[in-house]
Amino acid sequence: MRAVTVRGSDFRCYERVAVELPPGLVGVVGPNGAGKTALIEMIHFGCLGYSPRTTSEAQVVRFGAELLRVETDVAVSGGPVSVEIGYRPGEPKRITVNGAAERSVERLLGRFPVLVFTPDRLRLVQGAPALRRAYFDRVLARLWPAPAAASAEYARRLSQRNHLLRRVRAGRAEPGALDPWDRLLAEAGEQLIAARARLCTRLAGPFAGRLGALGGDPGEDPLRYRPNVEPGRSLEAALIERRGRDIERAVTGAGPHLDDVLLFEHDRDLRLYGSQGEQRRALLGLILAEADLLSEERDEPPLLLLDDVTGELDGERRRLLLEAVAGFDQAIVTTTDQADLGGAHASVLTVSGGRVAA
Amino acid sequence: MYSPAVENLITQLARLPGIGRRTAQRLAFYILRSPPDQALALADAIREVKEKIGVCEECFNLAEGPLCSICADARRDRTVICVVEDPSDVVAVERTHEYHGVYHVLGGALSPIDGVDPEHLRIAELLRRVEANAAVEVVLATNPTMTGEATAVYIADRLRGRCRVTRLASGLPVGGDLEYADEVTLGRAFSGRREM
Repeated sequence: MRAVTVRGSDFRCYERVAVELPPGLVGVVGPNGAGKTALIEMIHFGCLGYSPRTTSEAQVVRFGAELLRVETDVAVSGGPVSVEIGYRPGEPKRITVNGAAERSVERLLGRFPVLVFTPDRLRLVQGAPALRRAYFDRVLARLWPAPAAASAEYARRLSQRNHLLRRVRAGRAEPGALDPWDRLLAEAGEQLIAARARLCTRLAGPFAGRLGALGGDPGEDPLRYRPNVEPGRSLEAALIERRGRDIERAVTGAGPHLDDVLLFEHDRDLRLYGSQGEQRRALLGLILAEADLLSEERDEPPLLLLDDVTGELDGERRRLLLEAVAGFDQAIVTTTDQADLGGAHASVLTVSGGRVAA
Repeated sequence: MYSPAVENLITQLARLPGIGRRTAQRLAFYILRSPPDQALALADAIREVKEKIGVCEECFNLAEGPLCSICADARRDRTVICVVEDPSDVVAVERTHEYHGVYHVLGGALSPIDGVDPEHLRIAELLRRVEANAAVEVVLATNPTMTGEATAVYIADRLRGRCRVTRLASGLPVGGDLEYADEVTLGRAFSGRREM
């Protein structure tokens, strides 16, 4: 997949902009604050309907404007597709795909393989397990929607069980009322554990390969799924065994909501012992591994958006990175210095003061 | 803003499900404008159902008198009991004309978040009825939602060993298009596929 043109109005610093995006490696070059990241964000928003950067999405609307619009023409193996998105904070987004209304933002995620690196996403490597669970469940949703639905269903059942634990602790419900919820929670939980285990198994190979190609030393098992309850063990049995403690604490103490996925380089947990550079490389490796798996499963190489990815990398690592992304239909890379693109064959877009020039 | 009588009418209407304050205002003004006999006919209809319609002593379906029309029908098979959440579900199953047993209306589904526990549903009554009727089969026809499933699981556990317990199948709607089925429904239909 690649983006062909993107037109936006009142998106971040762009009042009105139309950009033709060439295939292959595309460098977006400009000084700090020129709007490079905003361009990456706009392409992402234009394809998937949400910003990869901010949680308070109202901020993507240009300061002083009421609403934004982004129109994106993309080329996928099935042919050209145009996506139009209008957004006024506080209202649902208006999305059309080839002119037909699309009510679900999630469907765009399944339809368009767009992967993004932004420095904010380093939290995925450095931060709490919840961030990694959310990331891996999102990858699942993209690859295999049916098992991925287990994640949302599990969360709903977990919330019911936790409510009931509180009621039992307060003496307002009988412990026996937990029986059906243990069963239901275990059923969705075991599906989720199996899906995550399958995903980690499938990602492990590409991740090791990509990490090595980026100059890392993956060693044995660089991607390690750490389920709270092992796949194949009965989650219902674990819940029944814990029931007394769970009632005391009024919170469910076993299940995939306590899973983690650890990233290793040569038996070092990168979250705890990785340098900034290594954590960055691990995140890139993970995104590229996801890209490999998506290409394989969907026969559609993803579009890569890489914001400020060359910063903090030495010349050799930069070269390896550019080499790695060159194999995709399109990789859009921002940088302050064109020299960072080195000898790589790249088209260059120059960004300054809310304008983009080829 | 309005006189107390009008305000009261709007408030009462706004308590109905699916009716917001705006719609309640529109309905109230319609009633104010309509001829007296028409408006009073509505009031009488409400009074009449509340006076005449109660719940069936046997199955807790809606009934005009002590028993509902189904429990009063001697031709229905009392050894097969279909368990549903609400009286409207009885109507839905009846429309199939496929079922000749009796019903048991639970009055909702288990949902700890909403504070609905087993003792708030008519589960104890169901267990007593299974004994009294010497039931051979209980069909669990609660909704295929999370709360409906939990209710079905809870009841099935309590009936284990006493009689046959079955659950309605879930899957694709007849006349529907595979293309438009969501992943979860299609997934269930897949795991419940059968030999032909």
